[in-house]
Amino acid sequence: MMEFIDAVMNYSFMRNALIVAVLVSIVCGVIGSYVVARRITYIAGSISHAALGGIGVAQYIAVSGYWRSLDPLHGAAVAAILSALIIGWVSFNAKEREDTIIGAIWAVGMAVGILFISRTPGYNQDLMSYLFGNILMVSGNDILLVLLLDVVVVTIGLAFYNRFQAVCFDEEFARVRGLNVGFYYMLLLCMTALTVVVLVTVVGIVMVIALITLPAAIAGFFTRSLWQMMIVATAISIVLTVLGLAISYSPGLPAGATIILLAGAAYLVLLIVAGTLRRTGN
Amino acid sequence: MNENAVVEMQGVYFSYDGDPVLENVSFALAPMKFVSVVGPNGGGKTTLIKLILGLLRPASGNVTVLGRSPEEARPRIGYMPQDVTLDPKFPIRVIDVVLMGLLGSGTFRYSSDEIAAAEHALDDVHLLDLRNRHISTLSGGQKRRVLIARALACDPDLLLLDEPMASLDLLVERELYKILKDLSKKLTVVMVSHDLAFVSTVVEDVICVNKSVAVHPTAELDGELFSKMFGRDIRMVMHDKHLRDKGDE
Repeated sequence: MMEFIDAVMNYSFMRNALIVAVLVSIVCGVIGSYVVARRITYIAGSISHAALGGIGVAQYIAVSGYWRSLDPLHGAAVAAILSALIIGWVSFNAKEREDTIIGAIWAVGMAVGILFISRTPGYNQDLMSYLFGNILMVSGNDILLVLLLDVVVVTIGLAFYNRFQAVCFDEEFARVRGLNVGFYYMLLLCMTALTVVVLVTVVGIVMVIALITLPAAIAGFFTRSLWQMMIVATAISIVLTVLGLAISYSPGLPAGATIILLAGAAYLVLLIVAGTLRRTGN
Repeated sequence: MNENAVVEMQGVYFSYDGDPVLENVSFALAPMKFVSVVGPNGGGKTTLIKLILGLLRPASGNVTVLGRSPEEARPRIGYMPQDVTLDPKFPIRVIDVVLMGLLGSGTFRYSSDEIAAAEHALDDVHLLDLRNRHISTLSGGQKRRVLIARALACDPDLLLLDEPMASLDLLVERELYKILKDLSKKLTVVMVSHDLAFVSTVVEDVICVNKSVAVHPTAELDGELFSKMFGRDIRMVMHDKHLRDKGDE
């Protein structure tokens, strides 16, 4: 632990990591609470895996020299938004099975990514960091992008709180009250997509789904309303990500995986405690 | 065209994927009444409610609510859906649910006037002291009352309730009827119900729905009429109900 504190004092990469951990926790708390309350974890999972398609395409374009300044995260954002719009459109308009579409986008997005990455000149070890995250490699540019997404997502997430809450809780009633339910659901999915992109920097595509849901799910044990859940989930997420960073630093463990294991363990313990309390009638 | 009618339908047809649910429906509903929509399962009761709300559009015919189109009338309609669709795990307090009835301002916070209106609606259903409880901690009857309060929060002229009594015990049911009866002095209350026998003792009119729609004052109700609507004799049910009532007292 001393080594970790020492690193925070002396290395900018560690300070960057801490800044990103806090930024990420705020979006996690706000959007994660909507995702958990509305039970659309699997949509977040689909969007995050589809983001690999965007990463692959963007990387290919950048490395091939067509557009050198294109960042893989830009590609991830476009792919994530696109898949969110498709899923939202399907669940509102088409009479197809929603879960089939979600699964298809999940796998097709990854396939596109893998194909483009295999065609990208020169092998890039970055792929691993997008799949599993590498918070210690976050650059100043990444922080700016994460900050920008943070501001957008949190502003929209809070400005439309009442409407998102209504659409998540009782869609039909929200429609009767004159809300454009389709629009707000789409907007929420797009915010979820941007959240996914932010999270990819920390825990990577494969583990996004856990970081988006576990802090909010843990907060659910202690809270009675959505805004309470958002505040508590943000705090829990900060604790988990910073603690995960600290624990993983000295032994050189992957930070993303350590954070997820911590979150999973905390959730499991609470599940057991809550279950025991219920059985003993307290 | 009836100038005063709260709800008026003229020659309304509706079908799901070609299967006719309602055929040639025409009726007018006078204001300030307590009315029940009755009919067999799949007879079109919920469809009728959703047509009034404008959630469904008729294949042909006209629906007029409070002298306007259903969409335009929505701000003046309070609606209580069947509560089976609501997620009991959703993190939301009683007051948050009721405030949903006042949606539309689009701000992060509801104004103090709106909170006062929501509290007033909660008071109408005698649940003000539970305002900060999580909805999952409420009993079935209390939950229904919260949803009624949510429907009332916008101070509507027309209150539509879809099966507010389903799976409630008799005592709670009575209590709810009393609340609705009091409300019907101030606004029109239209309630979908399965329970013909008891309904006929409290409401003024029944709207019988079974593909076609007919409105009858409760005074005119008899077994013959019900048999015609349902294709079977339902006096047995009424008889059963009276026995159960006596047993309770």
